[in-house]
Amino acid sequence: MKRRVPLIITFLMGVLMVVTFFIPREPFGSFEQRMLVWFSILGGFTLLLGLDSLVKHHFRRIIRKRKDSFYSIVTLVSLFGTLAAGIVTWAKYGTPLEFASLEQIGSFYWVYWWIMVPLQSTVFALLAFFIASAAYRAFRARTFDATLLLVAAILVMIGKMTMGVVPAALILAVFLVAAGVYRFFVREPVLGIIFGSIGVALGVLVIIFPAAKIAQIAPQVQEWIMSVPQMAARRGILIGVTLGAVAMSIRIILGIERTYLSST
Amino acid sequence: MKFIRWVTNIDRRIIFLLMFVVVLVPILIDIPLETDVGPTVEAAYTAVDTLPPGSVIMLSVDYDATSYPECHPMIVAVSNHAFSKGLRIILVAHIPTGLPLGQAAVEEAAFEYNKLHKQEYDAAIKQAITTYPDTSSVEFRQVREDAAVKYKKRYGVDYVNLGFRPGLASIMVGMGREIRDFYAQDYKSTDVDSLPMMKRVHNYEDIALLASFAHGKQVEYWIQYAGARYGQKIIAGVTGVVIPDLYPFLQSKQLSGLIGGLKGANEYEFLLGRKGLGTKGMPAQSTAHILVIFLIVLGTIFEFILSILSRRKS
Amino acid sequence: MVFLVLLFFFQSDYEPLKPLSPVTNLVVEDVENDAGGSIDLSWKPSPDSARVVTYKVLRGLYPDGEFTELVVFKVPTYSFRDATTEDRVEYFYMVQVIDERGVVASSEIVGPRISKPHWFNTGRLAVLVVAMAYALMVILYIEFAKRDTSKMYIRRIAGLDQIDEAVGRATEMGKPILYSLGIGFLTDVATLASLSILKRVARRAAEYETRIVIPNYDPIVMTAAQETVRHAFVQTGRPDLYAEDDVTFVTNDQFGYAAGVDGIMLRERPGTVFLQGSFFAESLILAETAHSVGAITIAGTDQATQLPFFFAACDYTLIGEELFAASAYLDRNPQMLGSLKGEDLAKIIIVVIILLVSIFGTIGEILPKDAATETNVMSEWFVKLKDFLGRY
Repeated sequence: MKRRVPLIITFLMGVLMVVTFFIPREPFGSFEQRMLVWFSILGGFTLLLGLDSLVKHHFRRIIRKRKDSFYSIVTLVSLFGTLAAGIVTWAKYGTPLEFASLEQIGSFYWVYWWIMVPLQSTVFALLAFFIASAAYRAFRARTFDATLLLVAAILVMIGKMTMGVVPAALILAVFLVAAGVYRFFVREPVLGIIFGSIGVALGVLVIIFPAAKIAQIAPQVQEWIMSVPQMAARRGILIGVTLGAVAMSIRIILGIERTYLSST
Repeated sequence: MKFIRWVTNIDRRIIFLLMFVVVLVPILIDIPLETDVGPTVEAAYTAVDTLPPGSVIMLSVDYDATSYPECHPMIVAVSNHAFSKGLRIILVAHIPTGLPLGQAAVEEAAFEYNKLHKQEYDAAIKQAITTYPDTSSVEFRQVREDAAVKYKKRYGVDYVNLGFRPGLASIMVGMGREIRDFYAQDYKSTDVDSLPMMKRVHNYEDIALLASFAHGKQVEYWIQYAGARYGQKIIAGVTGVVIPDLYPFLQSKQLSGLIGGLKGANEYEFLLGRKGLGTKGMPAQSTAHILVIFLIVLGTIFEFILSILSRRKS
Repeated sequence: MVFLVLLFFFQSDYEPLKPLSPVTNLVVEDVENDAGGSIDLSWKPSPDSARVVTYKVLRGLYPDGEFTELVVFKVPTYSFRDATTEDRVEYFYMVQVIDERGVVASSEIVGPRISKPHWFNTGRLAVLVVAMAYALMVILYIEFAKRDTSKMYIRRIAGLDQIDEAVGRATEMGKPILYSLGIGFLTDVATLASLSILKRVARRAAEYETRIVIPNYDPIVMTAAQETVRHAFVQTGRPDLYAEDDVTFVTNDQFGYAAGVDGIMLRERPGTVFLQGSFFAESLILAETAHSVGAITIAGTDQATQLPFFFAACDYTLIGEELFAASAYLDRNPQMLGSLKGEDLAKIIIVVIILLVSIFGTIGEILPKDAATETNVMSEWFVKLKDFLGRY
């Protein structure tokens, strides 16, 4: 019984959602919208659940004097500090969102402006470092496919640059020649010749042509890679993902897929 | 061999350090960069530049902190441009957490303008005191007001912040009738009617240009509701990802100009002759790209050598 | 002289107002496939459209009664949707154009028209047909699978095969496992799929007596994860090992979550990291940190833009549908395997359609074309096929 009730609810709601999609007439037409509103109301309340979990977890850590409980103190102080800042600003200005200028700023927005914004930007900016290290570590052109992938990646990067296009293109030429030489060593002379000659040709072209011309062509190459081969592969993945998602939804509605119910 | 092994398994912190230097240095030192201004940015610039002084330009903040690096330089540049042209600014926001970013940009621009013209203002006041020693006289007040109009940007007179209101489309449509239907008060709950510059501003007819700074679909909404319905002239400043979505509107002239991504901000700043975050960020983007390309190629070449050497051994 | 001047004034000031032609072909119709409450208007431009500065749409309840203004356009406009109608009330419509000098020209009055709600959205007929066909395929294969399980072959998915080993590895190293469900909600299919992988991971972790740490982005997902882990531990007979403190809420902020999970990784130093679910810009931040603490990383997401990052930085990556297939793959439940088969059939059909359309299109472009109409047999076929498919 405990298992059947949720399955029945899932089935009914699933079928209802599908059916109402095709009926514009009220109250069916706005059914999905209404469910979304319900969901966001529920979501608002569940945030309390999250708050409860967070506070309890860190309190326990502090009380048990676990290793690194200092960070728990930081978390709790930040949490309640921000809340207090909001309440104080509210009491003072009638709105927590007081912001006249960077000199005259309510404490809630002060926290937002001087702590949240820089922190968010910082974590986002970490990406630059991680991309560099991941690229260095993972992009090794051991196979033919990997070499192609690398060349495409470098071409796209060159197309996005506003300066230094010529040196970057030269680096690419050197890479192609090196890849060609390597292919010889792994006994694939044909590929070796192809890569090598493309590399040499690219190098010569970059030196002969004026830099401005190359800077003009590079974005077009980038555009082509992004809109043709990249798009093709992405559409393939997207079609697969969509079909997979629909099939999974059918399994869930029919009650075949029950893994999301913990008690099965 | 040892060296090559060390390089292929290099401590990633060394790469982080390299990346840090490569991004920081171009930001710290000014690298003269040739900027080709694209037609869309030039169109946006011209749209602002050709407005007669005293016109009202509405800036809509439709981005938040996550798109700060791309969108913020644009709104700063446009605000500065507007003030230097004697335009007046109305700020609205459709993303609540974006509002303070827009407010900071406009405040910053006003502050910069006032600093730049402080001497002239002071001189004018000094002159006024010598001409009309009685500082409470009507004449003196008039001269002081004239000087302020010329050399000072003040809240309520030259710019207002109407704040955030929920209800994207309905506000955009509704402002075609009357702004006060939605924004009876500004963000600090001051009556809009008590702000001097708003006295004659009621709907899109009184707004010469609308500029939306967005990281999502908002520009398309503006075009649909304010542009198509009320003929509002619109320019946009958007993140790189959004640019392709807006090209059709440029072709159909429903968008009068487009500042796209950091590159667009850089171009606008170049036209304005003012170096801001856009100009500073551009070279760093390129140098970071070169570093990544260099690292990938270096790693691969060393990998080749290692593999060849180990094959020889075996 | 005075007379001449007077005449001049007379002429310039009292130039007779030129009559203006109204807009033509005003068409007024109830909006199809809607919930009622709207009527569509469209019209052809006035022959004097160059002079027109304002367009007004008016509505009245009687053809000879009072008309109220609905909307004013200052730019050339040839259509309008009146979304303020009351259903089953008869309305009459009229469009006025006005030139710079205030000359007004009214179109003919069209009406009566009513708006009404509709029972079926015919615009979505194609979706219904395709969805029914697809659902039928999936259900059919599920039935087949019930009868004969021997034919249900599923290709190997390395990322899923590695789950047991990865859990074992963390156990051997005496380190915990970190499992992130991403920043999706319970309404995302990817999050649901991730929960089914979590179930397997948690079961193994309980068997091997290994800690499993799950930081969460969404409180509802957190509750589901807690239940899943607790139940897995109970099922394996180790309820004592389940620690609620290990399945916690971190924050609802994207980069705050990334920073929080990174911090947990650096402090707990997990031996294995699972990143399964919806990931966005934080994907590489998490994957690289996992690598830096020496963990084996098994990632999976349906976000195509994040897949390259996972490929570059993780040991194993599940691509979109592999993630959705996880529960079928892990459980080897014949019914679920059958649904995968149905999916494949749909894919084959789509591939055939794409191939057909591109072949027709390409041949049509290559073959010589009729000079007058710029068409040939093939391109006509292509257009026909495109129209046919376009309807669906």
